[in-house]
Amino acid sequence: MRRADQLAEFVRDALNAGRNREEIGAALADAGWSGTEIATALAAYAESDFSPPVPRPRPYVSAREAFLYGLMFLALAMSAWHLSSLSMQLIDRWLPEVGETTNIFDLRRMRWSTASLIVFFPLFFALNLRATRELRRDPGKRRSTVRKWFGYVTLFLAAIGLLGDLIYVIYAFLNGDLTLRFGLKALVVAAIGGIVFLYFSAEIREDADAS
Amino acid sequence: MRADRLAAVLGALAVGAAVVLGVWATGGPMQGRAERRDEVRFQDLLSLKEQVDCLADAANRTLPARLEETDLCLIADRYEDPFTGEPYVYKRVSATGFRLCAEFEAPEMTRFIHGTFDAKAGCLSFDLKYRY
Repeated sequence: MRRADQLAEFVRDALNAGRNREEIGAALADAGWSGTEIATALAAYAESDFSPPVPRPRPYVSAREAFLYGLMFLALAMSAWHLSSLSMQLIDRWLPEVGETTNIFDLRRMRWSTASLIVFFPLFFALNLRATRELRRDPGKRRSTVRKWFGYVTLFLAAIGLLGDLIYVIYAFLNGDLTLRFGLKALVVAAIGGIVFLYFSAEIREDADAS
Repeated sequence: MRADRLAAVLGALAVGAAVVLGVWATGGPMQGRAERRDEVRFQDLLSLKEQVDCLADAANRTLPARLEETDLCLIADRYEDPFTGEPYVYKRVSATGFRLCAEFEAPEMTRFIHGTFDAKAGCLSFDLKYRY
């Protein structure tokens, strides 16, 4: 049974059994539910003497959270992508292969990545700061479905990136391509994936503690 | 330090460094302007090449002695660099071969556009024997 269903069922049963709202609230708080969750669960039933308790219509997933977290994770993904792309182009530029030269398209790609980083990274930082503050104010938000899904999808992508990197290192080693330039590129992907992984594994651990 | 804070600090440092290096390696907006000016010069040289071809066709496949405005062929947009006013250089190197040169500011960046571009001299080489 889902946690929200469990909570709703408990509140309904308790109201059915004639308990008043203060008693139910105290019992839930003792069991570790946050103030917001208790208020939401109690607000799910109309305050009337009608029996059985009358449910109120309620939103399922918060559209505002979907917007904020969607934007935040998009900003993170774009930052990670352009950071890795820009780093690789810088490595190519400073460690050219024999006969290779930088052309105007390389420069334009680098400028595009630089511009993307200037926009997306501060955006991610600001949204993340805002999310952290909201979580501190209301730990119940850690149980947000939208937040969890976006978090796990990001962790999944970071894991895929790291695994792909590992495969590529072994492949390049077998193929005899293990140059300094290649080593640096693999290191860049590993570092970026590692930072994202470090960040979200800490976040998700806290989410697990909160639930 | 908590792991997520450490990750945020590392991320911010990496992005900051990448942005600074990115701007430095690409030369900033002034370099971008120079590349734009070079593109105009390059297009000018290509249109001058068409002009030379046209004049040569009119003179029984003989290269003209000088590049000058004529009513015979009206292909070239201009004969001098629009930014410095310096005339473009036309040099015959053989009976059918010629070079067209300009003062490029970032010539190494224009190399991709044409196979015969000599970045050091800022010249394009052509030959009437071959059609490009």
